[in-house]
Amino acid sequence: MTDTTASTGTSTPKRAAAKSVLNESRQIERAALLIGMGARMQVLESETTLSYERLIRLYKEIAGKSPSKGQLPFSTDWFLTWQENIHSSLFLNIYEYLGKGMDLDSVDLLTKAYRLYSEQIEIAQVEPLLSFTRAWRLVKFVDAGMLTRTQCSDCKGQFVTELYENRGYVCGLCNPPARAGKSKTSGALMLH
Amino acid sequence: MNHEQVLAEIREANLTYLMLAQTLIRQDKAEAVFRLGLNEEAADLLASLSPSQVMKIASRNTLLCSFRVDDTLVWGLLTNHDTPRKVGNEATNTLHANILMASRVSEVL
Repeated sequence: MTDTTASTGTSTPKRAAAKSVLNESRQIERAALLIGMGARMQVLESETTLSYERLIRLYKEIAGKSPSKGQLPFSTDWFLTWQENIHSSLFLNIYEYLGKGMDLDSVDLLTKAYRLYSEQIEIAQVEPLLSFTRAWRLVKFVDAGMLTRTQCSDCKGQFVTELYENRGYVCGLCNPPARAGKSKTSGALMLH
Repeated sequence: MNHEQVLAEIREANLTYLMLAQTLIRQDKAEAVFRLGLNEEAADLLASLSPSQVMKIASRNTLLCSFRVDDTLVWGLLTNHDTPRKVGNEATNTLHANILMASRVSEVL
């Protein structure tokens, strides 16, 4: 089933014929998948062609509660703080890896990358800091040219950074800031 | 292990690998590409093999899958051994290794 969506999904959702029943059922399926992964309304509105009212109804039906209100955080800072940056970089690397390896539709790419990220986080027994909505936001920031990936000059891994990092950029894992890794919360990343 | 046993073990490992790869690819090709570190073309090729082809390919004296951890830093992080810096507990090292391995897009190009 996932295979069919992957192969037919090269067109962007906005451009798809709005009146088609088949298309609408595809849109509902897609919205349901996103809601199941914890997406907020802003994600649903951007990634499907369904109306706001229908999305609200669908959300209540699936999640059993009203969607959280309010704006999404608009700052790129969150993705650049130590622990958050590690999570963001892991997700974005998986996202780029899948995007290069396969020709996927944007929602498929996002959901598959997020699932693989969650798997790795679970195996490492760490708290999944990056929510699905945050992951979507990160991709939007990268698409808009507000964040990018830079190679660490030490370990050669790719990390989420601002656009114009200097050439000798060193990642937060090779050179942790003084107060990093001291969190006492369970599931937080730590340093010795 | 005598000579025959070695060949039998290699065939067994190849068979297990090929069958797992086929299952993964048929289930979800995109995920499989990431898990196996193969490009789409290779994935299509593997998925299209018939059981008798799989049997035939598996019967050889060398392994069909190769080691994906080919640099000492990632190896050190995964084994929590010889980590060059003061860096982290096991989870932190695992995530660092994961970030490095997922940075290798050339695998799937």
